Amino acid sequence: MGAFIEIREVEKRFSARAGERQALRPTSLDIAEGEFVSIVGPSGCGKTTLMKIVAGLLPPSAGEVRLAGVPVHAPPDGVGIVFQTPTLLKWRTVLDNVLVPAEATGRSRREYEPIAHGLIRLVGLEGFAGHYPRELSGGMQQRVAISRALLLEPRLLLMDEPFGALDAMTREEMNLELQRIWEEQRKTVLFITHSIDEAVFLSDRVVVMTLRPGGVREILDIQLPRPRGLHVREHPRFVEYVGRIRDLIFTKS
Amino acid sequence: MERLARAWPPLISFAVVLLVWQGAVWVFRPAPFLLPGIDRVVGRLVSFGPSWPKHVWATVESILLGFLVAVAFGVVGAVLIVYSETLRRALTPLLVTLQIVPKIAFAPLVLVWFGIGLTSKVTVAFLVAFFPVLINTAVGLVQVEPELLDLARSIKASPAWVFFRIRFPNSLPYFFAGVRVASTLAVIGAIIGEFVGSDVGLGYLIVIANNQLDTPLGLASIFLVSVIGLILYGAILALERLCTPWASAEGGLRALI
Repeated sequence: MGAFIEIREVEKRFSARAGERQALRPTSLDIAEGEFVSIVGPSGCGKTTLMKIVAGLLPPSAGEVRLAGVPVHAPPDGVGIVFQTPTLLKWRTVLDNVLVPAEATGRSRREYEPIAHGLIRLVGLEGFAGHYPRELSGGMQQRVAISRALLLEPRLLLMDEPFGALDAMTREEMNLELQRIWEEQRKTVLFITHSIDEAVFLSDRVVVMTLRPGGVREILDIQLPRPRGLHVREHPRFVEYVGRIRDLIFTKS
Repeated sequence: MERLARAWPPLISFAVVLLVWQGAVWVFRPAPFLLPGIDRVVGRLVSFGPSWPKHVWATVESILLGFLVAVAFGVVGAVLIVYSETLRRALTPLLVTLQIVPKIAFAPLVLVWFGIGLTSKVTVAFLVAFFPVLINTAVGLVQVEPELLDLARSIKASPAWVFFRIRFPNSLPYFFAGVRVASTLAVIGAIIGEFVGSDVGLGYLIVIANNQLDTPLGLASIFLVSVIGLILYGAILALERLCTPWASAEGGLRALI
């Protein structure tokens, strides 16, 4: 019996005009249940590709992903996704947006409405259930997307640069919020980001990916006490991790 | 009070146009068949009185039929080309070509095909109004955030759910933009249809008035055509606000595009 998520020699090539383009070098990674793992790297290093393969949205060119021992060939059950943009339905209220995964799969609204209200409260949007997306700020919209991803009680939460479009201050606030939600729910999280700081702040482990050579460069254990507050960023070990990752990304091996 | 303040600028712009017109009549005293004063046009509008309904109704009928057929065919066509790869590949070059062809130029030919009467007028109105509906609706059905479709796949939403809950509502603002353009084009198409092939209707009256140098009657007809067009446009705008309350009103110019 292996880890909760097993990524085995997963590779992705896209056919391009000039032959083939390798989007992801053969990559292996194990993630334990309940773990918060970030993948950090520059644009084009294949981190979003890796996430889509784990989500079953993109077939790998080679290799295999197993989720709880089951090979992933199509989008598996028990996975919630938060994208870079909120991807809300503009014509639906917050509550109806959060209920989308239940409605689209024919589950009973009556059963899921209390759960949705609970999640809206969890992400700090109490009182906004009847609002439309355009009445919310970018950060609030992303909170709605997080509630929606949690609705069907997934075992795995995939987050693809979810705070990349937010301003720096909102982003720090959302990091704190996400940590709080994770502490409460203890989901396994695979978090894609290009912010080194964010990756270290949130994660148990940080996977560093580089462009050339492509693929995983190193995996770091982040040993900082939880819950981490705003000032953990001044902790000497935090500074050390950030410096280490920056070196890994910007120097050739 | 604020509403009243907002109503002033447009009222003034209309008043200025009328004043320039009437001013030109006062200053240059043109022959009434060249440029009649507002009073003469209003007088003709009144004196033609009982003869109006027949012509107004004929024009309204051709506009509405041409418009509704265009909307129906436009929507069905859009769904077909969005959902069938083969149809899309087969029809797109043809549609682009037809987009560029001036449909109005077919009006005399349409008369040859269908003769004088309703069919010709509706056909011309349909021809000019059809394309904006088709193209806008197709674009609206396709212009869905790719991540939204990824989301739908990840939660295993059915194709029917994706169509009715994502693509269809997503296309509505585009659809209505196309329908608004189509409504103004249908008016033009119906009038052109009446120019070339009708013995009734406001377009027919405009031609007759011109031939008889009865310019006040021509202008009164144009006024009524414009009123019909405005009512249709206003009705569509109201329906649009009702159906897409989430689409933000991009200032007053939304009504122009």
